[in-house]
Amino acid sequence: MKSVPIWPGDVDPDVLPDELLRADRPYLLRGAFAHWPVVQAARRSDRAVADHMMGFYRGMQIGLFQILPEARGRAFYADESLSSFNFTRHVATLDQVLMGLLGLATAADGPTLYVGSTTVEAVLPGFLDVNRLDLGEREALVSLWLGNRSRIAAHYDLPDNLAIVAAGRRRFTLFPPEQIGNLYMGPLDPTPAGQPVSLVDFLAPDFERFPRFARALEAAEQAELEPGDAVFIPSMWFHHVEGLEPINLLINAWWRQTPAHVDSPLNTLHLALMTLRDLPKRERQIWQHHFQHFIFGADASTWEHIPAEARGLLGPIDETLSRRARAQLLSNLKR
Amino acid sequence: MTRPVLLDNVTHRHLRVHGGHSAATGDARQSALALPAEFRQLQAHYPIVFQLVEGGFQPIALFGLEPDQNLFLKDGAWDASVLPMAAQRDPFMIGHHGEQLQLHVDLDSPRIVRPEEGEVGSAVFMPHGGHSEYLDRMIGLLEHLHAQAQALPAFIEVLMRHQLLEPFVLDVTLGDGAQARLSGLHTVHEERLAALPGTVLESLQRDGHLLPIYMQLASLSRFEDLAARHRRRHLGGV
Repeated sequence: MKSVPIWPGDVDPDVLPDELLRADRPYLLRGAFAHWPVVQAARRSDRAVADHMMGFYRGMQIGLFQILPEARGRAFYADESLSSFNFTRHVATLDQVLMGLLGLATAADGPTLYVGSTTVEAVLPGFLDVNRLDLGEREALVSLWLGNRSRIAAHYDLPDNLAIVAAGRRRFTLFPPEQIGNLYMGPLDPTPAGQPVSLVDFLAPDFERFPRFARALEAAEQAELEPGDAVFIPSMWFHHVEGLEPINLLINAWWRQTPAHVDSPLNTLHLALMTLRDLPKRERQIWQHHFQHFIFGADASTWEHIPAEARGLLGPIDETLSRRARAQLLSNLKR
Repeated sequence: MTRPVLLDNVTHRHLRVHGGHSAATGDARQSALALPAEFRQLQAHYPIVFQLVEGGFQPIALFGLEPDQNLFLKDGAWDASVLPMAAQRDPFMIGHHGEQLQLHVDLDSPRIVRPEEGEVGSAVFMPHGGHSEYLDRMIGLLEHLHAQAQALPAFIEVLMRHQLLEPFVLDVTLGDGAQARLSGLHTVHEERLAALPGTVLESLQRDGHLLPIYMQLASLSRFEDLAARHRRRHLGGV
């Protein structure tokens, strides 16, 4: 498998290069965060990582997934019906989770404990003051991911993503967005953790059932990250993520390159599935043409024949226009 | 005075509304419109009577024995588990644009949070202009109120046709020997109701009018509760 390329330029972790954070493909940053105190603690011991985290912890409860040993870390659906999941959800304190992980560290065949997507500033206030992450003007959501051996099925996220391994080891397998057809994505709902996931078990791919997955693998790029390493994953790139050690801690930042009032295109996709996909072929072609005209091929020539004050959604959209359109859409959908 | 304007998520993006019930939120009122569909719930708490207003009779739930007196206001809350819908809708109201119903907001309502009061009360819109849960609740209430109000003219017409409304004057003896007199009120005429031919009673029953008629009669027992609330407030110091 190909490797995720290493970012070719210099990296000052306090001023991450703008070209990296706007890149249209993934890049690996080796050791860019090796100076983080949490990474230094990870180099000493798992216990030191736990102590470092507990130094910031104020007792807030966190969500915890528990997966039975036979799943070998794979957080997934419970069975072929894809209607329920193979993990149970619990609420715990961080010290309970860390005790559990340290206790399981020497167990040969224990369950998987997994804390996913948990806001760092809420759970560990002050952690980011010493383990600093400067993304310039970007308003990023910074989360932590903590667990032992785990396998998170390939999925995409809408925001751009910078993922930093703080402790343990993580293997990322990345696919370009256009590989969607070769990844055998599951239902839009329900999903294990909010995003549709590939139904392929990467540990033992069933190529008879999922033959196109072989093509996806040809396009895949992989990277194994150690403490202090980071990977930049652009919006919508598929990522399969494995935690490889008894204690793996990931810190990640998500941000969008669009203003906050711009909604997720996933809403557009849902509405399009409801309204466009099952149209008669001829009508669907017409709408394909309209979308090409108004959306994908849009430029000034699309609307410049209309007076500026009459352009509405056809012209540039600001926050106020977006609010009006939202009210209109909410009202249209209410039936 | 009211100053109703069409509610929109751009002009009113920061609009917030005070909750609770007190004189400061405009709840020091003696009565509110009560709709027949609400009589069953309301009669356990309030006397329901008919008042002659411009345009005909209107059923109201009584909260006090004097103008602007609401004996259910206590420590910023409303001391009853059920309120008439009409007493909950402020500052919102329904407006008409041709056939279409529109949501209006009364910007002169004391429930409107003034900018200098800060982020108190409930936000009407979410940060990007979607309806807040509070607004959705209020819209549901107003839609229900509007739908039920459509049934009121037929109910009143039936009461009039069978001459079932009679005026009454109520003298309430308050604890200190003082008297309060309520006049201009109407109630269902019990004897005439009892004397209605079976076919008429059957049609009242079929059209859903009989239940609210009896609920109104039953509600009159709540006058004693109003008087007791008045006595407690003025004598007991509660």
